[in-house]
Amino acid sequence: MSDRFSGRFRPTSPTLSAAAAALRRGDAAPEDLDAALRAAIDEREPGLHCFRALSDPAREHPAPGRPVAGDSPLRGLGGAVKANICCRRLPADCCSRILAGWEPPYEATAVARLRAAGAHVLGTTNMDEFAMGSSTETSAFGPTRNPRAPDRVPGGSSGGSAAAVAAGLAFFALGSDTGGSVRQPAHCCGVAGLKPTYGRVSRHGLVAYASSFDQIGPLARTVDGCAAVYAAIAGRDPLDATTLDAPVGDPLAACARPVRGMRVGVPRAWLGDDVEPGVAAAFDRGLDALREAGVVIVDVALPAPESALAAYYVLAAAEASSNLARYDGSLYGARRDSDGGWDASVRATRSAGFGPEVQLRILLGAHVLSSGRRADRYRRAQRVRAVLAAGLASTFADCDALATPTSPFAAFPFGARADDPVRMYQADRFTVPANLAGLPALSVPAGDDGAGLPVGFQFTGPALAEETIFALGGALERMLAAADDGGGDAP
Amino acid sequence: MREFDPDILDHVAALAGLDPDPAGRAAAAERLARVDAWLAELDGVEAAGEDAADTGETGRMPPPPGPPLRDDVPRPGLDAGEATAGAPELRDGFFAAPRLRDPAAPADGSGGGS
Repeated sequence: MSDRFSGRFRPTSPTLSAAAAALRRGDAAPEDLDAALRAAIDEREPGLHCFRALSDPAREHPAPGRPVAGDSPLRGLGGAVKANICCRRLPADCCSRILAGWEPPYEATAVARLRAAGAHVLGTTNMDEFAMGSSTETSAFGPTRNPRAPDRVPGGSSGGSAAAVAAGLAFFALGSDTGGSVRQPAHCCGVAGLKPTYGRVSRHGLVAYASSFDQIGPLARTVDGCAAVYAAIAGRDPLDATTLDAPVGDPLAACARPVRGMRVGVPRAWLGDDVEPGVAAAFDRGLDALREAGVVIVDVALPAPESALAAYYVLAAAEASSNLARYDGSLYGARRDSDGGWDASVRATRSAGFGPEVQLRILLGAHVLSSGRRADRYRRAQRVRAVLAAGLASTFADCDALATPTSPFAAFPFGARADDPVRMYQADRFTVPANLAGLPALSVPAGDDGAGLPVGFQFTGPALAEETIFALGGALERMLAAADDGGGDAP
Repeated sequence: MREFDPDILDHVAALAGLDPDPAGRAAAAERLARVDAWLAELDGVEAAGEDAADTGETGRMPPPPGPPLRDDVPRPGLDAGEATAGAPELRDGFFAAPRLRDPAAPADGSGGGS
């Protein structure tokens, strides 16, 4: 019987904030917490496959003597990092055969900042190949199982990161979010996940998929855990010219901030009728909880949202076809030689090294950028992006944040959507607008769909308003926990 | 569902540096046709000029005026001799380059390498 149906699902470790509090009080030692995580990994990883590779415990462990800037709540805690983010001595191969086993010679800025905050890396996590997917089924190294429902996908593309956090195998994880790849797996696995404002977190050391959309974001069991990780990794980085020189503020304190009188917009017309009933019911319970907290819920209309998903897939594919052109066997990873010369070798290498979904998106990108097409769909997609971004900015004149379900449907069975790319892409319907407009968005665990499958409640805020959505997320989490009778997975 | 034009698929695959085997080609054509048909919903969107990509509210820079794009014609690459002709130093037909990381460097990255 799966955990989902047993009603006894419990992660095997405390939340990030509970662990940090225990360390502060001296009730636990970092070494003991680390040993507990490693034991949990030994027990559950074979059945879940959250990790691409585990770090060497002799090298990666809590380092009490290491100087730590400030009083970070991450001190002594172990986290996981998606396999498209560079970590020393761990594969950052994006779960692709073309890069299989590739270890980067440097670390991503986000990882370096985690270490500076006193955290250590337990391993790199499984993911959809090159972050292209919503189920982690396109990983070249096999799928990850959802800890809450092992017969179902964990979402994607950061499915390994979300599953590791949900199962209590890591206190937090880093993912990357190009069209929802942090928030949708957070929704599927019942954890919190943040897509920061574009430019808030350095992309130095993140393998590029669609550079005008990509952002690294944190996952944790609770909203304040996400805020703690975000506070550690955010901020200007001279190694990424697109990072913003704007104060990060105090995201952790924002989680406890009062929300009475804040206004949250709900784009009812956009939600449509094809949201699963259990997901819609959980979303409505979340809205009721916000009202009880004194939040004013208002109806809003958004321009062009029905075209946003198609526009995203045109633009992201175009950028992917360019970014992934570098994998030709000459610089990175696998190479397949051919008697037909260099060009034939490149084609053979790429055709053997990329999986079907990655090849599809590269072909699609080359198609929309080709003569006769680039003045057509690519330009129209750019138009949708511009109109949507302007419309969202106008909407925020009337409300502090938008609320939607994170995804129209809960975690689905393996194979249910893999054969039809368009059905799979619908998983991103409510997440892509934040990426198109460069806005921050937070998925908060909001109970289940009535059948035991987790549901995420998404807040999208104005640019640089992470503190606003952390405040709303923290309030929603507290209200739902208070309404809970003590069962389930409340923080 | 309509089929994806095989000539266009050949052209796009050449641009993309891909050469799927016959089975992969059939699958790619089917999936590409499905996605292409879905993306047709964008055809009703009014196209705009150079300002279309300017998402000014987010601070993102607009693209440069006019699209200085080359024709998308696949071009042959260099052969090995041409590609290495300008190399300051060659070793077994490859560029010789300084080592980026010393494998014997301390684990904490505090020293070694350059």
